[in-house]
Amino acid sequence: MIRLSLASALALFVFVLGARAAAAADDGNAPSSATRLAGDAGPEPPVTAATEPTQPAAEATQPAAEPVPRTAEPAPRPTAEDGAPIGHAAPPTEAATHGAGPVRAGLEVFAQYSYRNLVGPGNNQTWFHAFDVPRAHAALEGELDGARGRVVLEATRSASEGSLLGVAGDSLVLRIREAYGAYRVVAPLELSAGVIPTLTVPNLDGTWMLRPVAPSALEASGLMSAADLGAKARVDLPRGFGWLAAAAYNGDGYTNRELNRGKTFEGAAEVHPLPNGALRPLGVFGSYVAGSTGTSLARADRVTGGLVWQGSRVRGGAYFTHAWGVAQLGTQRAMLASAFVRVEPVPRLLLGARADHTIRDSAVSPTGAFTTVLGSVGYRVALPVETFLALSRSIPTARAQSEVPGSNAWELRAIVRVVF
Amino acid sequence: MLGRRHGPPLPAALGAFGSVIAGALAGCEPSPADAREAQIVAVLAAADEPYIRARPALSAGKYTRMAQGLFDFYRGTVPLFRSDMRTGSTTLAVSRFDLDVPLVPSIGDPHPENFGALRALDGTLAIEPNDFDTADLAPYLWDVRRLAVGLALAALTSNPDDAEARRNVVDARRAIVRSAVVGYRASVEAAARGEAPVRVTESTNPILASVIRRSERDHARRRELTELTVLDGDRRALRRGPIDPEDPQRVYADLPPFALAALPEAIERWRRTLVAPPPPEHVRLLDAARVFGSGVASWPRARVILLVRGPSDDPDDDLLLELKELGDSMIGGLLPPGVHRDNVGERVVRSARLAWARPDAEPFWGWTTWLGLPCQIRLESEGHKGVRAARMEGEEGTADALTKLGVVLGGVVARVHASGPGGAENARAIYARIATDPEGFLDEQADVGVAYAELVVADHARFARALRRPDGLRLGIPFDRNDSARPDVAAVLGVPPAPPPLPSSP
Repeated sequence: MIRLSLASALALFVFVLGARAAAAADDGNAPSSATRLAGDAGPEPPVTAATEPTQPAAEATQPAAEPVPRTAEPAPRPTAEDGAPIGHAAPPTEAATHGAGPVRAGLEVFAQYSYRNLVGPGNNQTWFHAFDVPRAHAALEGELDGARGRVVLEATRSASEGSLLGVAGDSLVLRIREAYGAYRVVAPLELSAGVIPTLTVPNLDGTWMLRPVAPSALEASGLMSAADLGAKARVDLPRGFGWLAAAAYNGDGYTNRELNRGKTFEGAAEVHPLPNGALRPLGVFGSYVAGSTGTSLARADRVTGGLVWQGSRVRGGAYFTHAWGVAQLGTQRAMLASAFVRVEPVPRLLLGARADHTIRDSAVSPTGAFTTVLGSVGYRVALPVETFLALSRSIPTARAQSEVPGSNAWELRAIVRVVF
Repeated sequence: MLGRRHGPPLPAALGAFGSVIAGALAGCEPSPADAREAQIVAVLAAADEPYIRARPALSAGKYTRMAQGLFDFYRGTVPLFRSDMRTGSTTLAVSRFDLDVPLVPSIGDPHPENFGALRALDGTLAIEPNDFDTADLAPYLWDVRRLAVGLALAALTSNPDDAEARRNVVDARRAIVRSAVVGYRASVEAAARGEAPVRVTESTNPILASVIRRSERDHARRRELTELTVLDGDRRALRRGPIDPEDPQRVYADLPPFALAALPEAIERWRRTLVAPPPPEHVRLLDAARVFGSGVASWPRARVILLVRGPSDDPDDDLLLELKELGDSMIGGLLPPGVHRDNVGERVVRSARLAWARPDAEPFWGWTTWLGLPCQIRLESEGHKGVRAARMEGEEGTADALTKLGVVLGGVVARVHASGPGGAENARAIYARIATDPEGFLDEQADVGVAYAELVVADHARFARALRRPDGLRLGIPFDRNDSARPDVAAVLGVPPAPPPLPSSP
């Protein structure tokens, strides 16, 4: 009952705030959505580098996690030296978010070579190396009269690990990663439904902006999915103060069918308390998921909180997640802490680092936990092409290594990312 | 989880968005109060979802069989064992002796009933593993603990009609489990020293001696021909209908013509995978029937009995073969690349030939595809008796008999782990772990085996209770008419006998 009330209250809050924000925008003589789509400015956009003299003008052309209304001035031609979007996350999937026009097509590909060395007790070791395509996205997005639609196809193996039964052996096949329709009811409020990006994982991925190097620890640990089937409402707060959103999903992620009548609710907010000065990139992020999974409605609740820094050349964050229920066991309690940073000390040079610590079940002894540290060096060869070298080390506790064979490992990867 | 059947009315101000949210949250049901019951159901549902959706009647038969017996429940719950081992939800994986690198050849499900007599190409009989549906590469402790728990359960279910005898065995269950680990440790140590693997061709153990004796007897009588076929003049055919008066679930039924027509090609593909392929005319198909009610974990899979010509036209030397659909191992995917064979059939049969003391331990065991399904074909013979927990009574149900059985089976499992390329290195790596505290190793495995067996007993009751819930025999998977098997697949799968009522209490 408490969780349902919380969900309802958050939904109400998002809706009312959206209406108030719309009213505030109208008071400010912001144009209607129709005029915006005719090429005029929309409601007051988050402050971007284009309007901030200390930042390169081209930064305004970088995509944001959710589309921001376009300005009247023609966007400057983007270059490989551009920085990241300030004060908000990049989109969770970037294909077809670049460029102009009512209908855009795009693609995003990560190609990598990885060498993995696995260390067992007694100094027993083995290794494996492989070429892989961790991401291959093809996307189509269109928008008109306040409506927006987006479809992202992604390549995946037709059988899961350990399986020999798949399509044509274990071919790479295409599936739906995103497929949703969205409508901007009033200027700051957008409703969307379909296979939609969730709220927490995309925001953290989009803050770090090094998804080719690694997915967020939340996604990698299986605690949260990056997309799900459901509906979402998102409100952009005025004057760049951030955003709030609420969503309801099936709860089993975009890779699984719904197995129960329970639905999962996610509420999230990112607030930038000082949106007009040097601390504009600083944000406070929090989310709560009240969910269920599997045929037995196993509890799958998560609370996440942290700080983010979404600067042009420096981006980073630290967050903590407490999970009630993991996979099919609703009584398991997991905790995850992660800190990450991405620095572009000179244009095109991308340095990244991250440390994650995951406790698989905080209620048992001995503790099963993993610590993972990761470092990467990258270079933006051209605007759509980035290359990376990444080194990671995963260190489990004794119990975790017993439970997850191969978890004591280090890995070296060479990665190329292309996005249009 | 969030939703409840009766939530507070949402304020009208939520409008359309509120309706969406409210609708999404409506209709939820509380999960079972017993979290473990919920976990059992959810884990098995996730593992069996394709079968439950496309073969609901067969899945229902499997779950009913699992509810009827503790040992059958254990045989059908490898996914739960894996979940308990890998997710941290129990301490099943916790060990001072674990070794995740290297992975070793694993039987996958080495409970006592997956061992039995097999007759090699030269006609000699030996005790060998006889089920490789789950075989893959795995850490050595997987098999050790799966066997340990299986022996503890065998002790708990022994002597069903003699309470005092069972109590004696139950009291000795820790020693019985420990004996299997003793056998394992000794065999691994021998392999680490480079000693040749042992083939178990005879035994003073009453259980294994009985298996060998009955196998020899029924092999000589060709009892499978008597029981499973009818002779009409000089032509033999398979029986149809119920074939076991004590088990109405065991039924032979006709195959659809197109499925029957595809069998000769499948048989030829299988023939070419054998260690010593017989001439094609020896395995010319005479008759075939769909088999229902066989196995436990593999109950929902397609299974066909084949009658083939044998060495001559004399109906007395006809052979029976069993074709069974195969699936993935359920225990793989641990270390990259995650899969270690090119196809499912090869995984099963190559694992078997590595596991056996000699690759021709069952010379008719090969793989094929039939109608696109990966399948194995093996000899169906009453001369291949298996160890059966239900027979552990009388002189075969004493603590001493189970203890000696444990020693032998533990030794066989160790031999499997030390088999194949790199087998000696694997044995040395395992023994190096055990040697850090040899007695502690025995005690730890014995304690885990006994403790987990008690959990299995409780889980069996939970499972039976869950099956009696609405949609219990579907493990809660919602019905969707679009999941129905295509007509041709449905024809191959056939219509199984209706499962018996669920037991009121296990």
